[in-house]
Amino acid sequence: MAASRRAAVLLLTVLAGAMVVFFAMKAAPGDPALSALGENARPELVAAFRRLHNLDLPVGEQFATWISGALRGDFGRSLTLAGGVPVGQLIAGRLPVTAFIGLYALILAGVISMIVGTVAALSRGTALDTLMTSFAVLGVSMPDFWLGYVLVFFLALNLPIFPSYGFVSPSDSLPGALLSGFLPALAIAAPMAAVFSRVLRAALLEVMHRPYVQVQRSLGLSSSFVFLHTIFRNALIPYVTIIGLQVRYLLGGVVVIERVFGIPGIGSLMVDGAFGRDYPVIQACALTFLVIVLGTNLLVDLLCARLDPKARGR
Amino acid sequence: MRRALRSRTLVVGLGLTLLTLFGVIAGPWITPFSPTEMDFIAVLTPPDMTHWLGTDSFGRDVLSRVLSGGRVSLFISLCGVGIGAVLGVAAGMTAAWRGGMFEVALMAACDLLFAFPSFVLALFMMVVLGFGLHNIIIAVALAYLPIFARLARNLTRTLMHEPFVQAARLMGQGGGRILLREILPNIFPTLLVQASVGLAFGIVMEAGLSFLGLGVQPPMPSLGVILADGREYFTRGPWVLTMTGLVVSVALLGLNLLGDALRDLTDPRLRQAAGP
Amino acid sequence: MSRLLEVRNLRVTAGPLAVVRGIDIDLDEGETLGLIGESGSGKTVACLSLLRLLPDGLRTEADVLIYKDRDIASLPEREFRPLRGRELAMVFQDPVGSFNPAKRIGWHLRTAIARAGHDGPWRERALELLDGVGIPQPAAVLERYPHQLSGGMLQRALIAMIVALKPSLIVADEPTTNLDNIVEEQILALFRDLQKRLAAGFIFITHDIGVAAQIADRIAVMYAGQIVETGPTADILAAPRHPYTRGLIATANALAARAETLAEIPGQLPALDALPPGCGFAPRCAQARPACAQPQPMRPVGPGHAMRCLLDA
Repeated sequence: MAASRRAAVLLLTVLAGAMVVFFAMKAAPGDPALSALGENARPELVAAFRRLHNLDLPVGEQFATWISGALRGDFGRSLTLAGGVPVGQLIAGRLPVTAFIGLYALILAGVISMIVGTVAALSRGTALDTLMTSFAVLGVSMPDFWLGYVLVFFLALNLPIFPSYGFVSPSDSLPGALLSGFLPALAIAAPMAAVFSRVLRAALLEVMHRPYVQVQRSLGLSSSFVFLHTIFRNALIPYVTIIGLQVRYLLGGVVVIERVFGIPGIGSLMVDGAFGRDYPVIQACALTFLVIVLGTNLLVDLLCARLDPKARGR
Repeated sequence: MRRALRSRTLVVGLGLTLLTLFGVIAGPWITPFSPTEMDFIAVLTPPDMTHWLGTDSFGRDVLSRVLSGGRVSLFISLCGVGIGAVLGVAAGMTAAWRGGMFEVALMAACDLLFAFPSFVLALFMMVVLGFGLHNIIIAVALAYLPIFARLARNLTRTLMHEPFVQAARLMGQGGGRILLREILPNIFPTLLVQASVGLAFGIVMEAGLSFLGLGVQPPMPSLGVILADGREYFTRGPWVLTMTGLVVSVALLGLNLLGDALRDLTDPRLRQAAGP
Repeated sequence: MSRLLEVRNLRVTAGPLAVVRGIDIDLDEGETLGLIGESGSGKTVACLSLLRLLPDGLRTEADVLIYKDRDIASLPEREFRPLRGRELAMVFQDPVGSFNPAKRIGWHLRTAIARAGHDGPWRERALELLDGVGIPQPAAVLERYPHQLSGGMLQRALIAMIVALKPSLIVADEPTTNLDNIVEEQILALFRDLQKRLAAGFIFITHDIGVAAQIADRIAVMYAGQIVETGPTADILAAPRHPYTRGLIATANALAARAETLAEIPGQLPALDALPPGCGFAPRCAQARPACAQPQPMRPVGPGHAMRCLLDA
């Protein structure tokens, strides 16, 4: 019952998101045909362009055509790119790249924050804690795209193992993708890692003072056992929750960083589309990001339910 | 108040924020260079005693440009977050008070906006509205509206059944009056914390959009425009991008620390835990 | 019966403040000591210090701390840790808070059984233990999460874990305070059963003298970080000598024993930073006199019975 209700809400959200994306774009000033073909295009060319992109239909019918196509992965044709390449094809080609970079950044942020947050919590009140928490506040304060450049400047130019520009697709070479994606992923991960480690530190400190931790110590269980199975295990619940909430900011970083590092993902596609006022591309990209956020939210909720038995009954 | 001053976070955060404000407001009077005047003898000079942050490819003083660009970025963030906060809080409080379909619809709209990455939402708005300063303000406002609407609605709901609100109701005060006179002053500190953090994010958002060329358009300087400039000749003059970003980071650090300190001060749970 | 625990002049300090001000405890195998006092009298802190479970910032010192003929005060943490659970164990006040909320009851029992060094399948042993503390349908309970069980059930499960570890000294810190009356009676009955089954010594902390009367062989009454009267339970109940103990018993008789501040005794515990120089109870005592401003030693008033008051000593 809860699952079907959840699926219905999810579907409705996607549908509502699609409507917002579509009609907001329609409301934008300017004629897409004229902006694609130029102000002085021949009328018969404009008419052909409109017919090709369904722009001659009434708006409601345009939406119906678009949404029914979108459900099958057909988002129409690009207005500007490669002589009207199907947008669905563009998205399908670039989604794995964005998924790779996003996941890479998420994993880096997870690893960094687990170390920083745990060390800070375990050394609470010492100089090490102050250092770690200061790094965390600094991390939130640095714009990720700027950090990306500084990383390139100081790491790639001095340590030639990391390429400073360009990206090897994970489908071509996984080690190459891991290496060429490292600096971009690190730039996206830094502000996330900062937020995550602050939450983890606070959660660990909170759990450490719970009575059940004292009870377990009173049973003579080793501190590493108590930390792993009890303190860390319970602190994971708020930690995973915050990761879910931050995914939408992480994807914002992905958009900028893809562009900065020349990574051919959905983000750089959307920025290209924005420059060309390529409506079908922008609509499809926005909708793809919506689905990614909803998908991760669902995953995080399921994960939280696994982690927190109290959340399962609800 | 004494406790407030003892908090190092607050002192550092407030200090950096005031320094930033002073810099961007008094900028034109404290730097000897104009942010737009070109000097083709001093093109791309590294930081020295004359040009603290060096000069750019047109020989313009980077510090002067950062201060005047900072003013534009801060203005955008302030207006964007301000508009988002005022509209969001008004909608959220009204929704909590009136309940019913209005509340359901508003919360559903917020959920929908929350399902887009915030930067993607802003980018999308820039395409719909067109690039430029006014439209960034609208994009930032739209990104913040749902955050404030949800926060104000949740806070109002927790206060609505408090005795002092019920008392005002029994005395026949109208809804609008109760919301403004009784509830708003109580939820204001929390909203302020959100606004100070939001201000930092607004600046990053402007910088990101303009950096990609989708926001403020040159020759008007903004932090994003200067950073984008610095990217053009990064290998010849890395200090432009590096130094500008460093200044931005320090300013944002001030705002974030201020937000942290204000949160500690306003959260009664933390206050109790901190001792007498 | 052999001596299990001997404590002389146990002190716990928090910076300049003295929380426990020199208490002596003697406990034999199979004996139960009832430690009575108001909240804040230092009884829980004293017992936590025995197991070295105090939070950072609290310091423990003692002239003598001998457990089973071993000086445990000088043991490094590495050697003391194995004693926890296996030798000295504790049952806490809040059964719901005593369990890791993310793990099933089965995990908790398995952990305790593994800690006890039990080899062979843990499940049979767990079922046997749960059955032994009167938990119905133990197989189903193993699958439950802590939030799905009542406080009484959880307290029984925790006791089952401690039974698995077979410690020689069990401290029970108000184990029935958060439970309702019927469950309280059941848990007390369980403790009386344990007293017979295990050859352990018990320190039973309570603010309820009626509970102590049911379960303790001897009683020690704590006030403001000191033991003010100690003796065999029957003697203390029949002939309390210290004015504070008399007040406690009068209160219990007035059926107000569950109240946190005692109706029969005016005033409240002195603050830790404002302890009177002499008898801690003097400011609330109807029979106080100028000499009470001097520190009072323990004075023997009968066989095994002593108190810290200059009245009819």
